[in-house]
Amino acid sequence: MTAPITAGDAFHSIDGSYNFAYLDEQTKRMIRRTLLKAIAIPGYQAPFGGREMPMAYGWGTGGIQVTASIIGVDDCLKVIDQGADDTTNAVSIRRFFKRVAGVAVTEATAEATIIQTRHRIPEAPLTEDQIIVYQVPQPEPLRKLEPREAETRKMHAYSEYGLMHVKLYEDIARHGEITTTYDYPVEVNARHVMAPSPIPKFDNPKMQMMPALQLFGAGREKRIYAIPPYTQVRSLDFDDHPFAVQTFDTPCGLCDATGVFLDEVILDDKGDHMFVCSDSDHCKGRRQAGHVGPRAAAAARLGFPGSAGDGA
Amino acid sequence: MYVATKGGEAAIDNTHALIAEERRGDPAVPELGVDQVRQQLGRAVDRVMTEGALYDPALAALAIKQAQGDLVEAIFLLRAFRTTLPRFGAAEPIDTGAMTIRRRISATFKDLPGGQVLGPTYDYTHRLLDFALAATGGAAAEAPEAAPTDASMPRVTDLLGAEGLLQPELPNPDQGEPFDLGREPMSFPANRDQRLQNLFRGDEGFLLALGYATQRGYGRNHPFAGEIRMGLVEVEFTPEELGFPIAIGEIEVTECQMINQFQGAKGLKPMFTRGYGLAFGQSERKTMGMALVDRALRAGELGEDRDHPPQDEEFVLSHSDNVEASGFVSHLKLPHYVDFQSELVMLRGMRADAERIHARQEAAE
Amino acid sequence: MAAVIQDAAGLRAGFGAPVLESQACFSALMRALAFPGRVTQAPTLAEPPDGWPSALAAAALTLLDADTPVWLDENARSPGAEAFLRFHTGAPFAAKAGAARFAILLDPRSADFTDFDIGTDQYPDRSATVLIAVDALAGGPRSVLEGPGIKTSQQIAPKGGLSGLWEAWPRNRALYPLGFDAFLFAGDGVIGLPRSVKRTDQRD
Repeated sequence: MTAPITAGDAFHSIDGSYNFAYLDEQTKRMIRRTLLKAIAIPGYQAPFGGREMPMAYGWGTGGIQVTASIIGVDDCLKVIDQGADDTTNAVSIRRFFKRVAGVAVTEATAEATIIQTRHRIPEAPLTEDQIIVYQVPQPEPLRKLEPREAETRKMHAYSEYGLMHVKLYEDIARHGEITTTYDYPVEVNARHVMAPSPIPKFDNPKMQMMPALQLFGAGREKRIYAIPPYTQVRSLDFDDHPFAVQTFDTPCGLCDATGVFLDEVILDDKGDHMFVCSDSDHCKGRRQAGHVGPRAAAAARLGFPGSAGDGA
Repeated sequence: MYVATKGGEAAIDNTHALIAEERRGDPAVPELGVDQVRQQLGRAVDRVMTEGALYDPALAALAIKQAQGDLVEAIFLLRAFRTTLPRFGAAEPIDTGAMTIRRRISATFKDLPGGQVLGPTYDYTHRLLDFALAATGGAAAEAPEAAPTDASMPRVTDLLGAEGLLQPELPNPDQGEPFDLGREPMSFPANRDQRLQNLFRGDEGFLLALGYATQRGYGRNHPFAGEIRMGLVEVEFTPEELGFPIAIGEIEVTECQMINQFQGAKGLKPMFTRGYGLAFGQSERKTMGMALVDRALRAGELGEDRDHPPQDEEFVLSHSDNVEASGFVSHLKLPHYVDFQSELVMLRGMRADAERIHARQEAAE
Repeated sequence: MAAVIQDAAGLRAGFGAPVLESQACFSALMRALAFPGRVTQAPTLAEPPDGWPSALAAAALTLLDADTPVWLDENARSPGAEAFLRFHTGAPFAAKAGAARFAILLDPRSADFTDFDIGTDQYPDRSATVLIAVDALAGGPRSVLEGPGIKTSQQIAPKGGLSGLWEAWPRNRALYPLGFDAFLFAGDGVIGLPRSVKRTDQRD
């Protein structure tokens, strides 16, 4: 898997004054050491000396630091936000790496060696040759139940996860179901309860025994965690209330896909709306293969992005 | 009519062009020079250097210009630059006792060795808008030559300490290298070096409000401004190959030592304790807020009750940083439609269930 | 300048292109740890310290710095190896194995694997990583690995005095999530052994 070194240190100062991939080597080493420990303890949140990045905290600085520490000249990077490659912040991050690392970038899931994501896992299954890097706003799954780090750290140390089960059970008692729909907690390697980041719970099953390495970076909270390939990842549930993902009644309006996560789009002020794939690359691939959704014509009339009427 | 928003390279380029144009403003008005910011907006420069954790007035002035005077944005710019700088090592502790004093006041003693030195302060200005400043091109303002200050200006806290009335602050012999917030994440419980570094970078407004709250009863605190001093101190560094410290420059700092009553507990006699504040440049409000909060956060160590937010270490230290805070608050502007969709699906489902139950109940009645 | 130093102290050179080669080496180490038991290839170092597999020296250059105390076993210790680490990484030498963030073993037979730092309840990541030189990564007694990173099971057969490590492994694993992590090196090859992995003798 190791890439031959061909470029020497030619990229060393690609943007004039900054190191390859922006971070200095000492910072990369610190993050790399943290990543190795995180991989060795799946689901455990390892603290790291997170640096200020030239993007705001909360805008992907954890994911960016992880990506900057693992990326090499032969990598091909895909960046998505809400499943889409064309959202502004995804464009901004992709552009950053193009500039500071000179790497190839792609929108095609299958072509990417590193996928940095915010809030989604692509629909296409990932492979052993890919790494997915999640941007994480709040790495602590117990934080909303216990605001103190000094307490939650003990809970993880001694596997005291009763609080989480009580919370989920109270949901069931009050609402008849678990009302957490995104950032739905998982148990990793039968030991650590972990926040999968605010992906919809629809994506949780994709984490189970995923062939790709999954890395999580929380910049503001200065935590890194990981799920190695082929690792047990179980969404927390109860025997009488098994975990279930969201389902949609309609297919994607543009590509007719079913069994994928859909975004709702409001089409006019009279209540008309349609559902389209959240994964823009998946949708594009299906449309190119000739699939046509029930709202494709209406979308084209409105010039909806990705539709036949899209001017771009 | 639905208008498709497609973020992309063009949109980003356009917004950058727009802010550049806005920053420059009316081209008929002369452009603001970084040297003007540095010279004439010095208090803003001081705040940006302090919370940006980098003593560089020229770069701080540049950041202020670039951020159109948005100081939190300027602080962020300076921090993001700072993090790319190589680290050579830790300087020797600065000695504020050996400061070249420009201002030095004590609220606890009428007179003291070295005397009170008012120096430059807004404290006694009448807050009347000075319309003379609205006109430009006036003659340079000149202050009368200050009388030379005494060579020896012992810190008030040292004078009290000599009598044993003030809890001494001594280096912890068990501690090795001081914590470095620039390289290590916070952990709790935090040591005082961690806490003071965090408060130094902490948002002035946040510390001011918390410090104010301690005065109003949210945190048992009976503070006296033992001493506030401002002036130049020498920075020394010991290169490994020399083995002795050499002076590498001078920086301007403000130091505030708050003196607080302490009833005695945990085997300690009644005595005064202190809260400590330090900042780059002339940043008196910041150092006073910092000193009040530092003292409030010592509640645990001194065996006092911890009932109020300013005494709550995790609460204060986790939320003091305005670069972190503004980032996370502003990230709410990023799209969240995947999470929102998840909530929509659930909410509709729950409402449908509720309606079915309601309909069944009505039918039964 | 570097050449002069090298001549004067007999110092072995590090990476020719440190930024890119340490990335490539890290990539090999990360992949080795993510897929325990699979052999990955580190970039070749022309002149590692005497007796050190190239990949082990490359891993040291990639991971060590002034923040990571390192401990060397008797066989790894030599003026040349110490100068190499001191010059290229700046890592301080730990007096005891237990105080080290990284341990370098050229002779795993002589190691006491209970010595290494296993981290703390609240910070199990603050534990040692043990870098072990072996004669070869194949051809030795066969072991079967299971656990995170392994789809069903993974066979390995490294050769070179690992009976002590294998004896210590069940205890290390019982400490989970505490414990040390290990890498095995021969030539350019690396095998990763995270603490999460279960190992048994291969029975035919």
